[in-house]
Amino acid sequence: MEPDQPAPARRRGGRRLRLIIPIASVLLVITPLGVFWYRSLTGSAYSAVSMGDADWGGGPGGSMAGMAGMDGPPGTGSPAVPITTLVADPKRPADVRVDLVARQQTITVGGQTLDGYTLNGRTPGPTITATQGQLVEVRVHNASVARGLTLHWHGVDVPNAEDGVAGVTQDDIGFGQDFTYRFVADQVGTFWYHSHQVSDAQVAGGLLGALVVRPRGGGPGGSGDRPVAADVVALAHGYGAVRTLDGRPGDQRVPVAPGATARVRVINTDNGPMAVWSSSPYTVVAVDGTDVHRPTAVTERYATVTAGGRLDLAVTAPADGSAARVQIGTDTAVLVGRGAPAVPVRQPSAELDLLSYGAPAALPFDPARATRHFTYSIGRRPGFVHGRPGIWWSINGRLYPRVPMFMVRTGDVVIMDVSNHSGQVHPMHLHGHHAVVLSRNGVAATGSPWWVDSLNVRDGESYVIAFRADNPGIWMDHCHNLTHASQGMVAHLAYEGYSTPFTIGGPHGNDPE
Amino acid sequence: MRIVYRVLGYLIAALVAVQAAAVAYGFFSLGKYIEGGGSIDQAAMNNPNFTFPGVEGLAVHGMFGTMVVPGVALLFLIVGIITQVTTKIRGALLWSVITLVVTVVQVALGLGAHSVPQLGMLHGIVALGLFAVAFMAAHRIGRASAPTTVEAAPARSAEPVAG
Ligand SMILES: [Cu+2]
Repeated sequence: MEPDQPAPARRRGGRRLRLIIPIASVLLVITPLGVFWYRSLTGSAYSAVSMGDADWGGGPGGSMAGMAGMDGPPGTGSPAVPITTLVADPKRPADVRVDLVARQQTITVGGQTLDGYTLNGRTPGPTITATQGQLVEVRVHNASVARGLTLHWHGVDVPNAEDGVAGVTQDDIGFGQDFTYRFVADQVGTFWYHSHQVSDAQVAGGLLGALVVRPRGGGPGGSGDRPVAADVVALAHGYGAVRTLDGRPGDQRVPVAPGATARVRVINTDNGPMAVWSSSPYTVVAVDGTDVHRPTAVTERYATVTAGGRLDLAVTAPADGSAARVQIGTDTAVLVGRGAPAVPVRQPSAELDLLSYGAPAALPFDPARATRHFTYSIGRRPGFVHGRPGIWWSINGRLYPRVPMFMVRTGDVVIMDVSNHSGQVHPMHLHGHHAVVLSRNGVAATGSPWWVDSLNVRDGESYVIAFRADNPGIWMDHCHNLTHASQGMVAHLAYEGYSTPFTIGGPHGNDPE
Repeated sequence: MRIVYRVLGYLIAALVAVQAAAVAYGFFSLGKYIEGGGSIDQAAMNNPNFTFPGVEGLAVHGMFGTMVVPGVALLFLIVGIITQVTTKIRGALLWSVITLVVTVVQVALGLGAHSVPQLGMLHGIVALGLFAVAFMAAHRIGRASAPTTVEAAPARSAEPVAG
């Protein structure tokens, strides 16, 4: 970047040279900056599939060179199928029908009043409950959310058109408008829903709720090994500085009899990892909606709930009649039992490692036969994003929107190396799919298959994960620290041959992050 | 141009002082918040609606450190080039280059300290160095007079170009 030493000027050319050298030197400094600035601009409206460079992961595809600006994804020879066709069976009647009215308003939480959002007058919104196999139909009406909203079904591998990402799978639901989501709840487990329009502000402001899918014929939460006396949702959310469970600060009581077990479905809706631990032994029965195979009781260890992730804990009320204290972060707790709660216990220093927790089981596909191999390397470097200078998160060394577009075909087995050398933790969330963790920092997984949709990748860590490409469409693969996402930590997984009619920006004002 | 050079040099030194003040204010405020019963974790720090009295100190330090100071240092380099060639004051470019290099090192240390906190010690010490370099640049070049020889400037020897 530094200018060259000026060559000794001959007398005649000296004067002109003295003028040229500073101009040239200054241009040498400014021009690359201008180019980088210009390239960071995305234009007023752009398609998610035109973003970045197609990465075929060493597999087949891309017979035609990748082209930006086309309405189809890169490499499409034939006309692309619009993702709006990827829906649940439209003829099938709904089994669970929910109406939600979204409002932008002031909310009062723990005595503090702040600007936020409600669904049916409350935040978090109502918990939606379904039985496995039921068709869930949720009609959303926007009564007063100025910038519009969407609902994304976090952790549910819905058909692409129901994924609720503004500008990618739909236009945001504008002021006074309606949108109906329909999907079959095939997966049992704990999930949540939240807006994916201006999500950084709207999720923090409370535009979210829990979704629980129970197994067929099961009792309350009977998906684990043991029957449970109570099955509760503990949706953790920080409204400003007030930490809450289901919108209430402090401790929540689950009054089960001594010796009875409660299933506590912990949902972390915040932007950072959260620690959970207990005064009594606890068992992690499910991670991100997938049951753990043969989990064991955990003592003197805390468990980490990834931002966006879920852990289902089974906790038994002590036989002496007291209540077990399940600490969900430092500020909130669930008290399991009827009697006096245990005194708060300090967070254990050791962490439960899900890499070796539970017992191994067969995978539904063979990762050794992967057809594509992607790298998702998270760094940080100076540059421009949306024309703004700064030091930004990078993906494979590049800044938004010049990030990779991971291209797959239906049926692929995909391996992805996710590594982080950015100085901060990133909760990575892949839409529409569940991936299994194969290894961390080169150490192979030895416990129960660890299926994730939200993975806590700390600074200096590297994970190898695998998934099957079995849900066509265009899917976000982004950081669920939604502030980071709004700073450009967003890539996409796209199936060859699909296109989206929606654009980010544009007259509709779609702004997914 | 010499005045611009001088102003920018002093501005960088002043910004370094602001940075030191802001981060100290932020951390003492954080301490007071915790002493008062407040709790904080990674999720709170990353909550766009989370605040405590004095959080601005940390926010300013982060924003100035990654955007404002590097931006001004870059501008200083450009002004340094122009000053050097138009006024022929020896060292104008050199001092602006040194200032930029120290700035880059300082920002890198600040970011790297998130992974390796020990780098934070260097970050604190290099801040003093950056303050001194920027101040010296402004002070020396700002009052230096142009060489009296009207002859075209010979190849400047005082330009070890930094990589
Ligand atoms: Cu992140």
